[in-house]
Amino acid sequence: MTYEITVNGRVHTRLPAAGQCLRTYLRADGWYGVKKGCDAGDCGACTVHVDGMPVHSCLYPALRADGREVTTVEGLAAGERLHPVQQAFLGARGFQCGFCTPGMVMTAAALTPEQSQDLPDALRGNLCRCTGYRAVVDAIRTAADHGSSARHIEEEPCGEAVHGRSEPDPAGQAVVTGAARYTLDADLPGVLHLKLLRSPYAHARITALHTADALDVPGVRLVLTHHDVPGVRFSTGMHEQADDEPFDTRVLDGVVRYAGQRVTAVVAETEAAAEEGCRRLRVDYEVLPAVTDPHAALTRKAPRVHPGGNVVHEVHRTSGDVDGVFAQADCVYEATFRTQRVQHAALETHAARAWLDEAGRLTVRTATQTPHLVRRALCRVLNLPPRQVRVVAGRVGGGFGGKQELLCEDIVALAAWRLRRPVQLEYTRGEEFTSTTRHPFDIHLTAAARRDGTLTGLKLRIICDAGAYGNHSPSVLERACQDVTGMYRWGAVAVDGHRRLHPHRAVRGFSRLRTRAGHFRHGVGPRRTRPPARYCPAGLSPA
Amino acid sequence: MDLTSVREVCDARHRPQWEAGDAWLAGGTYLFSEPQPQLRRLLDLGRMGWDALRVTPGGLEIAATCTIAQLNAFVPPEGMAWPVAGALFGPCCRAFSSSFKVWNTATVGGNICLALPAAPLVCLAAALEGECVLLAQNGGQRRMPVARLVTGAGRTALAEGELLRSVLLPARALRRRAAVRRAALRPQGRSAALLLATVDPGDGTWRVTVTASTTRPVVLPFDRPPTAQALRDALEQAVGPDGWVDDVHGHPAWRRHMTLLLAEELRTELTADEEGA
Ligand SMILES: Cc1cc2nc3c(=O)[nH]c(=O)nc-3n(C[C@H](O)[C@H](O)[C@H](O)COP(=O)(O)OP(=O)(O)OC[C@H]3O[C@@H](n4cnc5c(N)ncnc54)[C@H](O)[C@@H]3O)c2cc1C
Ligand code: FES
Ligand code: FES
Repeated sequence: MTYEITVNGRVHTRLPAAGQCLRTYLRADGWYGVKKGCDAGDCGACTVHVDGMPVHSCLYPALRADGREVTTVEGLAAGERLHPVQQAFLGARGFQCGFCTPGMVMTAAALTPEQSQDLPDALRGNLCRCTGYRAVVDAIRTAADHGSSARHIEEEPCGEAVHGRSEPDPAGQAVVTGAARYTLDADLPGVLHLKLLRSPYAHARITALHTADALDVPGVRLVLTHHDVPGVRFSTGMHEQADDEPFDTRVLDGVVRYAGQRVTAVVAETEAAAEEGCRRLRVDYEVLPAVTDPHAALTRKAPRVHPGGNVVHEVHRTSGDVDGVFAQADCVYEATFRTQRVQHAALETHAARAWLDEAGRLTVRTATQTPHLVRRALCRVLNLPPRQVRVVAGRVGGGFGGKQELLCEDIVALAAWRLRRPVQLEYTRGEEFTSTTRHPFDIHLTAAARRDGTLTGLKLRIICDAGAYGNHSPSVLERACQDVTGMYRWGAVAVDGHRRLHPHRAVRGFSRLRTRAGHFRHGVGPRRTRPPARYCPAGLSPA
Repeated sequence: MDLTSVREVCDARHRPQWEAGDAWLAGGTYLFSEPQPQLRRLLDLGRMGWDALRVTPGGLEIAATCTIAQLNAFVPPEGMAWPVAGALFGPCCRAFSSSFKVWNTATVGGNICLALPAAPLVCLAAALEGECVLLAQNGGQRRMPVARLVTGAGRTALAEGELLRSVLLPARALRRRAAVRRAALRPQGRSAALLLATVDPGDGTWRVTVTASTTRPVVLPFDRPPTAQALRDALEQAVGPDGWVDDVHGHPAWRRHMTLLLAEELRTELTADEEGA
């Protein structure tokens, strides 16, 4: 069978795999402007034109592109001259991380004038997690009406003034042309692919692992189980103060403590072989009693998640005469607020690659916000000196705090170190949802106030669901308990916080938003309370 | 996404013998959107060469491989008084939660055979008395109303390896007057209730079709314009207490509420037209 497609004017004849989508085919041939946000047709980051028709390349069978012309964002400009839509995205700064931009640009370039009139509808298949769409819409409108509508685009430089000027993004040109290099946007010859088998149980002991069938799959090079990894425990939460967080996590563990936890890793020449390997693994579990409700976890009868118990951190703080101010209060407000588990959904999923450089040094390129802390953690896990480990980040396709966590790096580093070959792990969107979410909070708040709106007392009882592992939990709880008292001026404060146990991960804003959201809903209403109650340094009275 | 367990793609024109692990590949916009570890072969309908839309004296024949974009662009030929095409085709084609880019390749047949409650083409075809032409593996052919083909959420009466060839919409259904209502949790979201009502200008018969809020299409024919109470009772009875869809796209009680509300809106709209006419 012969196969021939033209991509941005260049002919490709490599035959795709039978079930391959056009997205991965194009990326494998170096068209890295084609992004993956979801791999399921929802986000539009993979948009390309096939014979001029815009499609989501993650849904488009690669074999079907035979004989057709494909245009990716790299092929949109006419030589050096940017396409008007690219120019407009550059001018309106229609991006932040820029991971959605190739797809936005390719979609916008294909809109009819009629479609441009109703952008919420036309862009329903394009997700941006950074901009809030305002800048994107500005860019597309500018392109549609030749620059007349987006008012915050500077037409003329403001003379020599340094202030008050909107500086262009130094990476802008690269972002709008698809040349910006995110974590996996580089050719890494001979790279192996790692896939994780995850636990179906919330709590179980692994009693036996049958790996022979997986190892028989052609292309499978390695199966890692908890018997093959260092015994060292660490925290996946990346914090400058390493001992802020409990060291309770192993690369692979003989006991799994949440549904979705890594059980084994399969490394193979292709993702297909690694996935087949995972399907062929057989694991025997002894299912253990599980606790999934934070209140139940605090009871004495609750099954223990870790030998040290179910409470990872506690905060108890009192200042002022709490009982006194409550006794004298004109009004007391009491309510319980709950937040649910959420996912930051950065458009670029977590991903990492590891290899040994010419000097034999372990090099890891990862989607992280904290390469320096990842390096420190890897040295600990692999027992290597810092000079043996180098960690780099490409452009990060959205993090929002969620990429301050060791989720991929340890296992790829270990596999690459073992095999002396490059290894990569790219999370699926589904994995993002099962293994990286934000802590749910349960906040019981009692506030005392005087009739004139002065807040006199605050009692907080906070239970935070930490999930099965500690990671960022202690610092998240500290934030929640501490920052909350800094927003208004209180006479007296009593805080009790507990965190327990799905692990919850690094996030943006940590916990302040949650306890503050609790504040805004009290009886008097923010507008009336705020002026007299606003926090002021000691000695100054509120304006 | 890559379907990593798929070993082979066969051209369906060569009528490959059906095997376990086979699936017909139409637009692929569902198949490639989720892992399909059970699949070994895709039987590709991409080169069948069927006319997407054929106007015949009996009505409109929509090939299974007709894309949503093609149906959305359909304009009845001059002289065909098919008000339904204008009133319903566009809104149904746009009743997907997916992007217009997905409609470029997603097909009518794939939508009907996937048989999600929120499948807008199931609603359209059921409302317009659509009949499926089905091709069996042994070469046999049978016909079945769309409303009977879809038996539940994601379930159909298709036999193993049976292929949907086309959907026939009779001219008499296309001549009816029609109106549509939809509810979703957000403006471009997955349909939580999709209702179509049609009236025959000749004999005054009504037909109310409900999907998205119900696990299978519910079609209610009326000899004359129903009263508000009659419509409500008929709906409640046809759906039954357990027939409302319960998933992340809407709570069953809310779906029921919206369905009854929108049905009444349709009734009022079409009755007003009737009286105005
Ligand atoms: C972001 C997104 C949003 C979506 N929103 C919706 C929505 O709101 N409502 C909705 O209903 N769907 C939705 N879908 C699913 C899908 O896009 C549509 O249902 C589409 O119409 C399926 O058509 P297709 O040609 O792509 O089918 P395919 O993916 O090719 O096939 C779908 C199924 O039907 C079978 N099949 C296809 N053709 C035939 C045939 N002729 N005979 C027998 N079996 C056949 C296939 O084997 C497969 O099981 C969405 C998809 C995405 C990616
Ligand atoms: S739509 Fe293709 S990656 Fe999201
Ligand atoms: S700029 Fe759109 S996802 Fe980051």
